Amino acid sequence: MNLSDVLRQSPEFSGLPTRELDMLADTMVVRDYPAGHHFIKEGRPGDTFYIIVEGQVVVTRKTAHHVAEINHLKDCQSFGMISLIDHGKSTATCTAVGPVKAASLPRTAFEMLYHSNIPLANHFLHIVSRQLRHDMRNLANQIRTAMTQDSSDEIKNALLK
Amino acid sequence: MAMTVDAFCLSFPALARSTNKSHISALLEVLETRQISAGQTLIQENQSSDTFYMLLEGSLNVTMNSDGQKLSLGTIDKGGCVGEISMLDDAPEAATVTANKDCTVLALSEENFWKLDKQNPAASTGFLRSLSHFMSDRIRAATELLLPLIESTDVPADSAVLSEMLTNAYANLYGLGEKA
Repeated sequence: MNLSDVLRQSPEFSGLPTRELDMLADTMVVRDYPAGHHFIKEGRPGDTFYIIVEGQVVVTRKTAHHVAEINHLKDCQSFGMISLIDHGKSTATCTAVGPVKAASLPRTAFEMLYHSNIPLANHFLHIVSRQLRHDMRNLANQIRTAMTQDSSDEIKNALLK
Repeated sequence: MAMTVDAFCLSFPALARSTNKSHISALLEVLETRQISAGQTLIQENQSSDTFYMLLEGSLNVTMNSDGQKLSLGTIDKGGCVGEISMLDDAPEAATVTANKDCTVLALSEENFWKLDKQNPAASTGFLRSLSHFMSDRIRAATELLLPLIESTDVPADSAVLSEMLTNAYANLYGLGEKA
């Protein structure tokens, strides 16, 4: 499967017109990453968006006693989208479970696309803002659930769901 | 009198930081100025709302229902915003927002946002970028307050302290000030 096909099958980019989709594919770089490779590290600034061409990536967060797995990503799924516009520290670690083929888009390349192709920039910002609305709603729900818990362990679990 | 671009930038700097003046000018054309009377409800918890509000004058009170009790979360003051999560989604609102006193707001309805998106996609993209920064900052501020609860082995045992930490995180997520 080539990158344009991967993007076409991804939930985020399936609605993008062919011209913009091909332009995005031409800007991204496909590479093979070994098992255990950290694409994004919790606590460090992220600056790259990735889409998985083939393989699996696990998303984890550190807690006081262990590392909690919060998501498992497969072919055509993406991560790091928000780091394209946000310069803050990453709140999770993304690690290759086995060998992974992934396409990357660094923030500098995104900025060039942003200023040269309005339809593509518009599409990206709709996805980013939708993701952030989802994250805000999730966090609000987690805090509300935590407020109803009695012990610190139950609160911790509510905040990691 | 219609609001100027410079006045908008001064009143809502966070919403103006990732866009340019011509895009703000296009945005202003689809914003409506509305007067809200004291006691009037702007947003109702558990109901969907399709409008993003920017507060020009006055003060808004934010409450939520918790086990049948009305819990006061804080206030939104001049320069604050509300409704960003549900403006473009059909999801229900997480809290009720009521005017503490007579207010003036700038309102961006979903219909007018899509009108802007169609007529001037560069302007709507700039607005979405500013709004995304704004939401990202709030998520980060709330998450920072929650990290001690997730990552520390030394979590406070006092339920009142825990409750205050959670309430503060919620207030940061929605950019709320002191409780009314």
